[in-house]
Amino acid sequence: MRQRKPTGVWRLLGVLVTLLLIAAACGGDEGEDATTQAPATAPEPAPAPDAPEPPAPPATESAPADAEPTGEGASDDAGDDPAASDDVTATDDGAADATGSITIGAISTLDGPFAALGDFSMHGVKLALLEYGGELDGTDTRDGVSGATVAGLDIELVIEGSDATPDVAVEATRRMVEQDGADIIIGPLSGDEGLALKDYIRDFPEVTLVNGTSASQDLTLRDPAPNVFRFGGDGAMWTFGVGTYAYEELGYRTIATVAEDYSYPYDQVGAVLTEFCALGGTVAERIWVPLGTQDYSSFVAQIPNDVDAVFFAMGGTDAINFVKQYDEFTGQAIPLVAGPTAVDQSVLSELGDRAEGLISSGPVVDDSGLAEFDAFAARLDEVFPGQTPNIFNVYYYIATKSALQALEEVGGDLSDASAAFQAALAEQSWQTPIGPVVLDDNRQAVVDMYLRRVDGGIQKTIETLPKVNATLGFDRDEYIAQGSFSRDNPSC
Amino acid sequence: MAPDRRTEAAAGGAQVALRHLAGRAAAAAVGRNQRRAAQLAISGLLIYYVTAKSIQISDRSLLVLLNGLTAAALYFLMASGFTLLFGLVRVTNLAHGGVYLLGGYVALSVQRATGNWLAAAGLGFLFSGGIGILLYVLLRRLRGEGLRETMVTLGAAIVMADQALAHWGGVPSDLDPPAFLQGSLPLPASPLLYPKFRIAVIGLAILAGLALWLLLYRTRLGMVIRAGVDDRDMVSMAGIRVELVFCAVFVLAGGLAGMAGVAGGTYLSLAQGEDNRVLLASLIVVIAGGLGSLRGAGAAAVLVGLVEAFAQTHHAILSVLITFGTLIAVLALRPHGLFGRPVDARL
Repeated sequence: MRQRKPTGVWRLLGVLVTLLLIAAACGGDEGEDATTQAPATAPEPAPAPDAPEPPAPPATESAPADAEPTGEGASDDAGDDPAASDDVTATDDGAADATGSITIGAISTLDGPFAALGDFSMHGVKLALLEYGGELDGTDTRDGVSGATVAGLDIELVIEGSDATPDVAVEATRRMVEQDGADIIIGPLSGDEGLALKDYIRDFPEVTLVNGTSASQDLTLRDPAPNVFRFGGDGAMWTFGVGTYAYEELGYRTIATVAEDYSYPYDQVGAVLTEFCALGGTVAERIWVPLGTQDYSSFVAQIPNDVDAVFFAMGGTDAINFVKQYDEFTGQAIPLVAGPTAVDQSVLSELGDRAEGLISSGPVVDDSGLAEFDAFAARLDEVFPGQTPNIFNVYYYIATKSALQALEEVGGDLSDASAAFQAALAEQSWQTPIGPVVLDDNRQAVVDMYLRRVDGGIQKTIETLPKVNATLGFDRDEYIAQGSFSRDNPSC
Repeated sequence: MAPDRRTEAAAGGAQVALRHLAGRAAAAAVGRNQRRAAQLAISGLLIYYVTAKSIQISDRSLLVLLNGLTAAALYFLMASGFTLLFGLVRVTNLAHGGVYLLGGYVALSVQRATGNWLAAAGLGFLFSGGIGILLYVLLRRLRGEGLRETMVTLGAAIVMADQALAHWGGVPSDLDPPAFLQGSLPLPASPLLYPKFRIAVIGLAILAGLALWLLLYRTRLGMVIRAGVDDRDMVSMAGIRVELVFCAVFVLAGGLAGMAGVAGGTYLSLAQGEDNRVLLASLIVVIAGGLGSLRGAGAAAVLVGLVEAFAQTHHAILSVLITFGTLIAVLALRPHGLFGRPVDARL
């Protein structure tokens, strides 16, 4: 083949490519930093992970020895990396030493289909820390908060992301617990992640998991772990009241359901059908779509023509795509009834007019008039301009603040496998932005829910449903004996 | 009633076809042509099954058909560029999904700035063509080293995905269709509607297919491309600047992927991870159709689109399995794909 001659065109191309490559390299930096943080610290404590469990409580003497090499290694990126300084105290369990600090690890979905929701949840975590004297390190989601103190102890924040899959969530949490020495984990965001983290965290009784928005029932209802706390509702509680309202007020007798195919939507569909069928309603078809489906046309085609309404339970991108396509394919000839996250404030603006009038139940309404809610909304907008309250920032805020309040009550004492702290956490009872919260014996919240309607782009209250518990008011033993909700349970 | 009549007509048609197939299968069996008999029997069973299932929801079978064709249209736009590139340059371009996503996102930005869908689509197309040139330059030095070329395209795919995340964020969004394609048309004998834009996407794919056919079979450039697919060295020895032709094909493939991105970004939505989903779908189509074959890409796109729509409607939980099963079945019967030929071993 002929050797190429460097003509003008080629030179121009060369310059263009170089410029673009440089632009790509510079643009990539921000993203890269965040993703390389974890691997950067990963090699140093490499010998440790083999024996992670034993060192934690009795490690106080060996801590300096362990910390020496870690500290040296981490100094490379000590500048902006909040994790770097944690490593020094990583194996110290944070008991009330004079120099002690407490590490809070926050996990949410910073990648994948729920990436946008991950940003919201971190806003909630940071707002709570700001109330304890912290300052934002930067505006990026992965920028931490420094300077927060509780009972004279510094609070370090470590942020990790998952992509909504359980194994990635466990891996990220393992890094925070076993390498960064996190004492408290706030999160995760999605249902199956929560179940996976419960199984993982059970082996670390000194570490406390305060759930973010994971709404699988069985995080707390069946086989609970003693160190897992949930200060919000689960998928079934969030859907409480919708089935009854649909039957009694809206007069629906036959419905179809369309929902994503995993544990959290099972709980929503299960809760709606439990109420709806108990009153005499029937379900004509249950359609399950894979998480992250783009094209819903073939699923819309399965909805029978003769149902009174369609209940749909989805989150994030999926809800936006489904509502848009349902509208295009049916003109909403059959009315929709929504699951709690499908019309959460985080997606309402993207849904636009198509969401107007949709009925749902859920923990957050915009017109509750609670002073705590209005204060939260104002503070959120002040710190993160343009943000409004939604399930994710509110729940992560409540989780973080509950943990900080309990820490304060015990003076930061995490000795004896966090026994005093976990006892104090279980006793937390306070007025959150979305109403009062107390925990039951399984460390599951009993909270108010709201039956609501989308009106003018915000969620307005139809009715407040006070003190909804994990068994939706049914007899506890009977309710648990029904078994976990699944594709075809309840049968009705 | 219309639905009943249509159902009867469909059932009648299927019966005739089945009787015909059964007759031929029996004849083949008598003639000891077991392979033929088995093939006919299996196709007979498939026809019976599909017809029976479609009759169950007779008022919506047209919808399923259209859904399949819309998906096929998007797959064809993606797969045609991919397969051309492979056919001529022998590059397995794993960055094709990234080009789809960036083309869509650039169009999104343009639409937000100007409010004009056509301008957005045009610029998305041009931008993706530009990425094609970039890829061409990146891969120039590695020509003929298949594995390294593929690795470079994989790297480019990752860079593109990260750039998309950095510039457009994780919140999914979509383009608004142009005013004259907004809204939906009623489907005959069904309470459902069909969005105008999806029908336009089918039209767009047919137009793109026709234009490609004209380009390949009615122009000098097309002649060179086809000759290059057959024997690259011979073409360059004939004094043709084959490098320029390569570059043109990169631009064409990039532009087609960008066009797919604009279409997909309008009737579906743009989100992180879409690049991989679309790349996977177009890989299935390209392999089933035969690497390097444009006709194959068209036929396989329709096959995969229809199978997918049917499977999602009737066997939602198994739909992925059935889609891949189709690929396996095609490869079992025709190892080089529907219209493929063995790849030149020297390359």
